[in-house]
Amino acid sequence: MTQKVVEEVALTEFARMCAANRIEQDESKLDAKELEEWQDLRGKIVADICRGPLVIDAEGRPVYTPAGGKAITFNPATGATLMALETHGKGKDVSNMVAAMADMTGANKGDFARMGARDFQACGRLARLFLADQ
Amino acid sequence: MWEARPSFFGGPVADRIVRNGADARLPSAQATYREMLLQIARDYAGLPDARSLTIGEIVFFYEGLRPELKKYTRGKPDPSPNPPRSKPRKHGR
Repeated sequence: MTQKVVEEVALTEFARMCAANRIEQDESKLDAKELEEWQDLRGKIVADICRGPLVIDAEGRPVYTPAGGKAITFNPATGATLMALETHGKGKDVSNMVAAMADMTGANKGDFARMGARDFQACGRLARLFLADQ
Repeated sequence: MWEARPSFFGGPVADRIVRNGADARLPSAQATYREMLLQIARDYAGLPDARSLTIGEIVFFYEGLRPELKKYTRGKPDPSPNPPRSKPRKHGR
């Protein structure tokens, strides 16, 4: 697979996005399990930046362009996003996360449903990065 | 379609909430900012529409409450096993 962005640049862009979205970058505060999951998540998002569809805009917002679709900008979460995460009650993690993604991006929930699996997972990773709950 | 994972850990959150008089890190952004939002909605009568508050604004208002929250959630000291005996009252004086 061809890389459109080199990994060093992608990591810098990822760090800029984290700084703009209040995500801790000091790994010393994570336990072993959290660190492993964090590195896994970061690696996949950095790979999305390297592949090309994910770019970080000047304000540190991720902009994802799915195959054959319009670019989707993930705006910073608001109180409405936090409330959207509880739209469908406990146990409906995917539905709640899609509701939150729709709130952050201004896209319809149906837009996410029509995405290919790879694009949907990439958007899901961004939502998880900003909002995931245990 | 969703990646199957044993847990749902996201990005580590930079902000801390107050627990038992000290700063504590919660495992997720959702848990952290949900608690902050509910706390400020309770304590600020003139808060703007909670749905429109950004995370930065939620943290700003919460920071205003932090010293007070630390003061009032600090645990009480353990009662000592042998409490000091009070002096017997002197009668007849």
